[in-house]
Amino acid sequence: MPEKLSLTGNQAAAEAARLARVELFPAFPITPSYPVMTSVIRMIEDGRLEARFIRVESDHSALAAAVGGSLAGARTFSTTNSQGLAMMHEVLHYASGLRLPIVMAVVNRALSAPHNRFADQGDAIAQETTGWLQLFCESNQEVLDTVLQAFKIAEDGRVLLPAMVNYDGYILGDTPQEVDLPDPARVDGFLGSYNRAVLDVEHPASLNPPTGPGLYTEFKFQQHAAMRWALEAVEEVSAQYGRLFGRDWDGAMEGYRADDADVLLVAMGSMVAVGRRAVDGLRAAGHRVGLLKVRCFRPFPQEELVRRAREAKALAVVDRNVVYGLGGALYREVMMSLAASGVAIPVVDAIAGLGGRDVTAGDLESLAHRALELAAAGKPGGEVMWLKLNDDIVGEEALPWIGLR
Amino acid sequence: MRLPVTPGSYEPGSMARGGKKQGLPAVPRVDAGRCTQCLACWIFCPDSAVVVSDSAVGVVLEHCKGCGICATECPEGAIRMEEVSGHA
Repeated sequence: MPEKLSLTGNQAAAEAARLARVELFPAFPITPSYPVMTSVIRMIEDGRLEARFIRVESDHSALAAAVGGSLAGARTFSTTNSQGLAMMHEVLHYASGLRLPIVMAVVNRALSAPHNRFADQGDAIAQETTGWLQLFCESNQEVLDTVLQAFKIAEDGRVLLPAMVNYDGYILGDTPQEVDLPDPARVDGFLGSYNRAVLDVEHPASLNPPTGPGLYTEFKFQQHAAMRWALEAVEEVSAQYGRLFGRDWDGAMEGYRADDADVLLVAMGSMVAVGRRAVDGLRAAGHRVGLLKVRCFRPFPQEELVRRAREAKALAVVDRNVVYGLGGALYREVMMSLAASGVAIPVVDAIAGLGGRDVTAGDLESLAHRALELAAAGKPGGEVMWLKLNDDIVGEEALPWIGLR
Repeated sequence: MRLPVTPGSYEPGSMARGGKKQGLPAVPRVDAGRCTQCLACWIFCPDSAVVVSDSAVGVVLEHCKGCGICATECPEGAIRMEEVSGHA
């Protein structure tokens, strides 16, 4: 029977791990993702989940244990954020290079320095070239559904890549919302069991051997091709999940009131929910504004973005991350996608919500108004603004750069 | 030859059969006439690929990765690394 519970994002991720019948869970506690760890451990203690928890001395070791377990054929799950994810960096490449479908809940938090524990997607963006799928969630229900989908996508024979399921720390991680728990038997039917033991005592192998210039490129191309397949798998699995459980999150990208829009907001993570309210407010005031929600950042749905943005007059991107000296990572993807397809429209990027700074619907409405101005001017190109930057306290040496596009 | 999904050597003997395909540059050759059986190569070989018989040392190519440490360490110059023909 379906069951509705009040769950935080962290609890939703843990419930999904239980429903996926994960067999191995190595993890190291860090704020704000540690409640995923404590929730899964409690399930194992209660006998609600038959899995092995491995207590380790660091996040680096957690993922190393995950790599070993996944090689042995265990469905493997872990969780971390910010500094812990950064510490895993080296092993992230082992997981993807060895083609292991590990799923990890990444509870997005700002990276030091300066020390900050609040929501920021810069931790995930810093790992964008590690060969992991990166999915972003807007609500706790989506966290649960996306963890389940992530296993299905990652374990697809064409893909075999690890996946991060990202959601903003505290904003989703520690805030309860109503979450519908799918029927376990139906989840079993959807997911099946994982059966790909690379390590096999009957057939010993030397894994990750020294690989010279003669073969390295080919192995990297195989990862690249798997990433391309992943985009197809994201769409297929999302549609299949929708048919089975009645919730279709629209694959890699969702449009909200987007079809006839002059201006499209582009956002990911919990910021999307704020964006929806901004769109509703702007529509009520007579402005044709819609929203594109990016669920899948790696691989990036370049073609779908261009198809949906082609009819718009301007885009307004929201980035809860910064690529220093450039702008936001989502902005960069959007600009590259448009340029590659010869779509010439103005794009404004807002660096917003860094380190947990509040972003309101009113903030995103003002961003959309800037995009409407640019649309009216009709001059293609990009500009980056720092939303709610306090000019009065920015240091002297940085002042000359305020307001420069 | 098609590459596996997960990079690995799934069968022993890949060195002996195709050093070129595995991207390995050279295999060790032992000159039995110069070998004094001091066993420096046996000590230094990181993969225990050196075997010792009553007459001379030898190398099991199934286990050798072509690192050349044996040739470097041999005090008699009895081991030389022979390039695998055709290696790029």
